[in-house]
Amino acid sequence: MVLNLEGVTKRFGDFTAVSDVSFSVSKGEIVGFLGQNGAGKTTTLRMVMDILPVTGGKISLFGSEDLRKGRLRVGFLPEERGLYRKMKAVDTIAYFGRLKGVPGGKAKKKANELLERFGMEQYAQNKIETLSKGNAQKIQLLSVLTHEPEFLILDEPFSGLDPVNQKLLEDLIHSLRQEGATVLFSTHTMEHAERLCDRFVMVKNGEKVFEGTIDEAREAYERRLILTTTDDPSALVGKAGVTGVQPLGRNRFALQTSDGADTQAILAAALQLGITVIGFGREEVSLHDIFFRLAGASQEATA
Amino acid sequence: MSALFEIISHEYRKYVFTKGFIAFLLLIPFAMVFGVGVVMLQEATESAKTFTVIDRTGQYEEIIQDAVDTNRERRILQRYDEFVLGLESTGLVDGQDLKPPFRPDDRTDARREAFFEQGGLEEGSRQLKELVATDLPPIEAPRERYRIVDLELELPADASADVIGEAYAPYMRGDEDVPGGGRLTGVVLIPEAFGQEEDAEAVYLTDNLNDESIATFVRRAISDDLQRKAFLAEGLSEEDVVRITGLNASLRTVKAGTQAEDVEQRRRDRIETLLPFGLAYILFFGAFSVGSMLLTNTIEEKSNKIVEMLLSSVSAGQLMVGKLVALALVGLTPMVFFGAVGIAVLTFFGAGDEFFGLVRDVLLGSPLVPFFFLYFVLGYMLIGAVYLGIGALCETIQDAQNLSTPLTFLVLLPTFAFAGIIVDDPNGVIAKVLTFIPLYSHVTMMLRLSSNPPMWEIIAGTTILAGSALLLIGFMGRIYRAGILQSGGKATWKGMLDAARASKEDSAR
Repeated sequence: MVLNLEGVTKRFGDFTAVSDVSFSVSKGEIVGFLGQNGAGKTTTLRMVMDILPVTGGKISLFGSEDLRKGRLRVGFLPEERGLYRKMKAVDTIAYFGRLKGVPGGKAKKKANELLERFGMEQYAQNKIETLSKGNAQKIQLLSVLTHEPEFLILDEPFSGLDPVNQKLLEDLIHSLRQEGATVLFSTHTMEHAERLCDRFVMVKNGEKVFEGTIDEAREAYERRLILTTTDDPSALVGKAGVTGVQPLGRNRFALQTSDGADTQAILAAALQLGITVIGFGREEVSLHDIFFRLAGASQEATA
Repeated sequence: MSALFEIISHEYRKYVFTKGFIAFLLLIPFAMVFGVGVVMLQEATESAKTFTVIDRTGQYEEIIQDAVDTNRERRILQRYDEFVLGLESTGLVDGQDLKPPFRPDDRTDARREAFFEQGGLEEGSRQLKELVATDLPPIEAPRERYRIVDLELELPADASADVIGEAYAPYMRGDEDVPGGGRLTGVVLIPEAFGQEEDAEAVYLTDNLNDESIATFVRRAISDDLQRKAFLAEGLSEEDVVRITGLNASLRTVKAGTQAEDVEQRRRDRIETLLPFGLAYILFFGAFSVGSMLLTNTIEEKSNKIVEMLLSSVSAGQLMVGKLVALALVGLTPMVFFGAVGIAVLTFFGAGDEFFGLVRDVLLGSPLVPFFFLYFVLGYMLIGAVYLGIGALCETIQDAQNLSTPLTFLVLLPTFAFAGIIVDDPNGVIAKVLTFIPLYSHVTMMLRLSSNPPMWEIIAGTTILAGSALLLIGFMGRIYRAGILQSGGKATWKGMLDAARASKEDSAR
């Protein structure tokens, strides 16, 4: 077990930012940490890195609760990113490595290796302030790799990157995984999670609302029966186990059914009632929908 | 521990290995050379103060002219004596081998007259050359300080001061040329009834009221003559008058508890008294400016969003201590650098020079220097800790000014206001009180050390300073930990207290 959280809670005065969150990350996994802005993702990750103390609960890294020691084996990319503007790229990467305990000479060597590996060796001697925003962000990412971390925690790594750089980052995460790294990253855009993650953890208002694989999420998500028609389908209520009709707009209606209701019987009933059926079936759900459903507030009605 | 070292080394190099800092190091000797150069330039270009005497009594012009000549002779003799003494200190010559009046001695009127009767500077140089094997640079006579000119203006014999002023004004402005060059500084007008009628006043006309030197000089010359004549009128002989006017009470200042006869000790005491002023000045500005660098440093790191990266590897405490130590080293760097250069220069060039040798001995031997470094570190920690705490709560310098401006005033104003009082009375009530107030005790102690303050006051004052510096670092450390990750923290005193409290609750758990 690389990371384990047990009943972790964080309060700032009267405000509870994280409430009783438990989840774990195993070696070699890529785990997405999803939630809306303000759901408590950054606070949770800061507690893992021992930047903030927990109010309650336990966190262990590599099986030990000594986070000060454990975090030296972690590469952490914070959500708010910045670098020393006057420092050279190669020195920046080496400095953050040294802070993690890499000896001076080795850190510099490793920094040059990383720059070369990611095709940025021409920027090694440039000051950060002369780099483009995208390149500065790449330097920042490299600076959390100097100490060859076994576990990467990336807080919103895709935010602020253009699509090309987003793709580069995805490739990087893939290649790190091939080398056996474990990755936990937070995001509020689902596409990345869907493409990259083995599992994901979802939080809402500081509480965990889901943990599992994407398939498990799809299963857990109750797919609604949708009838598309230009007519009024309210006559269906009471027929073939339909207990209610909820208009979704654009001629779409969600049908509430009792347990064990037969969809074929419902369609037959609709045709019998003379309702023009334009479309009928279980709704298609993307992770995006699941996200809104689980992590979102009350956007379901307009979905 | 190694992470702490990395932070110190990083922060130190960030400031020291910059063009600005190196330029600063090089600029200081340049500024000193410039300062010396300005003084030399002023000496080289300073022309004699030129004035005209309109003497309607017909008896004072000569007296003033005599005074001008005597003044010049005194200055030449002084230059000569200094030259010989300078040679003596290098060991090239023993001035005692010279015969009077060419042997350096008290510059009495009798010796002066004899000096110039027997050939003056020229003869002195000749005699000196006979004693010394090597070639000597010529002794240059000092520039004349006062010069009387006659502009030969055609003015009515009873012209009023207004008319005279008007007539001479172009020469004072430099519109008209004065024979012998330069500008006319003023006109001395002595009315006919001067010395006979009570209300007959001599007038000094000038366009520069700030420069009183000619007026003072002429007043002195005429007063001396009036006194001499009065003595003679009382029936004293010319010799008696010279003897009486030459009387001078002999009094010198000696530091209590030292040997009055020991000339070197007296000089040493003088240096030990003056040196702390310089050191206190450097201490005050050094501690304050380096301390306030922590403010910009913290704000920069906070607004650049670097701090979270750092905190994922090191604790806030380490980061803060690292910064405090690194900037203390930054502050000490120029002091140690110039201290070392200065001592090297004093040792190398000042080998023969008694005075510089003494300065060096005092610097190395007295407790002033270790105390200076102690008080620098303590004073800096106190001020720096406050700035760190403020910086941790602010996103921009503008936010910080709410808090830092009152602090700046609190540190600067009383120090300026009270420094003079401490110097005048180093063991007085105000000095004693300021010794025990942490924000001021480092500078106060520095100013007092040479005046033998009671030992218990040194110990108590230093302990209070060190204790409050440590307490403040602890308190500001809590604010720093709480504030450094917050965005939009409250840059008020209340915000600081809230942050300290929140942080305390966190660490209590």
